[in-house]
Amino acid sequence: MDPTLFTQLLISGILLGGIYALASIGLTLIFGVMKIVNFAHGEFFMVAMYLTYWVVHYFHIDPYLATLILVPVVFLIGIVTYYLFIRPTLSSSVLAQIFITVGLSTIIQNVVLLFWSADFRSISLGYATDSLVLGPFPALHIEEAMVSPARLIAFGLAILLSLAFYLFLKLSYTGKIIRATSQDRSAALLMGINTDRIYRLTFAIGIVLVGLAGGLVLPVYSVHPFVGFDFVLIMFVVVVLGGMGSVVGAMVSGLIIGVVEVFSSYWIGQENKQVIYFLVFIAILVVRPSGLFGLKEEEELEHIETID
Amino acid sequence: MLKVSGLNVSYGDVQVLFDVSLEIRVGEFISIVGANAAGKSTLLRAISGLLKKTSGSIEFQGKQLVGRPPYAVVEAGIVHIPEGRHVFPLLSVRENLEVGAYTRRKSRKDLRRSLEELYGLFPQLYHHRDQLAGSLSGGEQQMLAIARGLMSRPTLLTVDEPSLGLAPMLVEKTFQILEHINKENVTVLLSEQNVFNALSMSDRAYVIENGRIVLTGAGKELLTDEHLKKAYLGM
Repeated sequence: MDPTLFTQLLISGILLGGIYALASIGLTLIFGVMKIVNFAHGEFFMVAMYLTYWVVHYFHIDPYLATLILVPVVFLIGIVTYYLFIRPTLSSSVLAQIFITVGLSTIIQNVVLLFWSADFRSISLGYATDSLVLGPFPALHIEEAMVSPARLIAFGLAILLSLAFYLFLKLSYTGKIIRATSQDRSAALLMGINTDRIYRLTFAIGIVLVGLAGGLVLPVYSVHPFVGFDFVLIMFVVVVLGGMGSVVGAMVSGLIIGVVEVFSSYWIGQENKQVIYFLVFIAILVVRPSGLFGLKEEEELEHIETID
Repeated sequence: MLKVSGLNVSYGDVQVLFDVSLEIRVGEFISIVGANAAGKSTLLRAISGLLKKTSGSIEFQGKQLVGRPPYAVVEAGIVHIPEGRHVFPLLSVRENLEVGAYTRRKSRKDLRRSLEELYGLFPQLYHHRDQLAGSLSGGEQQMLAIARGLMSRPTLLTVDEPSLGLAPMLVEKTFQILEHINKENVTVLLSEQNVFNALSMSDRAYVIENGRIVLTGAGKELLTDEHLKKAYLGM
């Protein structure tokens, strides 16, 4: 393959993958801590895109600034959603939990459709419409590669935010409490941890992370009521591939899926690109059924629910 | 200090504890002994607030604990070391201890002092402080579970089957540690199937059978009780 083309595709893939990583961390976090699969995750992505869009539209501020300003709002949406829909089903069957988040997804899509119509809306970065040119690098036989500034900024911020969240989880006291709760809820209760509060916080953080991803891509993608669906499918692939509950896994497999997607859409076309990343997905799962960074079954924990 | 009266506990429709009453005074070492499935763990878990279907009264230093969530029980000063240790396997030994100090998290200095004290009491935990708890041996995990419980400086420690799955030498050591903790003014409520060891250490003990307390008395006296000798000591 032509090295220039290869470099171009690789760069585009990595840039895309950074966004997938950030968007998926929240999903894997919520699953890891609460054992709940949030099927409405893509809708929070979409809602955050809309909120950013309206803030930019009415107040004419920078979309990245708007994304950051909206963090408390998105956090609050997470808290309210937790109380209204997630908390009541925490001790219900898995089926009920699936129904509640799938139902929520449908409701959000249609409410948004009702208020803001099915129109595609987009913004453009006034200050960065021209592509950046990398290269040429004659020694590597690479001619010029083009990079869209909006994608580059989105990627940079996404990676920065993902790393910041990872460090928070690893180093802060609250992060340790969240990890302890995810590893053994009953032991966490016995340490005096109010796990309900930790669940509430975890869910809201997960929503904030996907919301940030939504805001960051607004200069690249148009927003419409069903944009979440386009992304959530990939988020699920990323989460399962990385190992459900693994934050590092989501970051690594986000990048992998981004690269695979870009290469396959070049080779076999935009409309069939899913075929390839699902094949890669299946191939990796055959070798490592619990995902790249998932726990093997024997490492998983049993809970003290046995009768005395 | 702790007064349990008329306690009934059910799992779903199955009642497991019937009208259980017991009393613990400050500084005592109390054992609950009985066969597997007699209701020992259930009693400790009910005191900790882990069980929903609980009626009766559990009074701790004048406060009613029935219906209170587990974190309120810990805040009141009771810490439960669960059966099967339940350390956080993917946190380091040190992180496990830090999480144990949750109710005292506001004071960094306090936390560091507790850590130093417990490392003194459990040198092997200091040695392994940066290792993942899941990679420790069973005996070390039991020590970690006890140390983690002590991080919040409880006044009453309830310990569920600490000898389970441990080699005899480690069982001995675990009991020594518990005796030491008790001498340091922590009241201990121990549930054990290892009847002989438990009774020899205890000030008083309760024998539980099929969810009912059938016998109580000083530990050493119970060792000579005919029924107990036949049923639990094989004599």
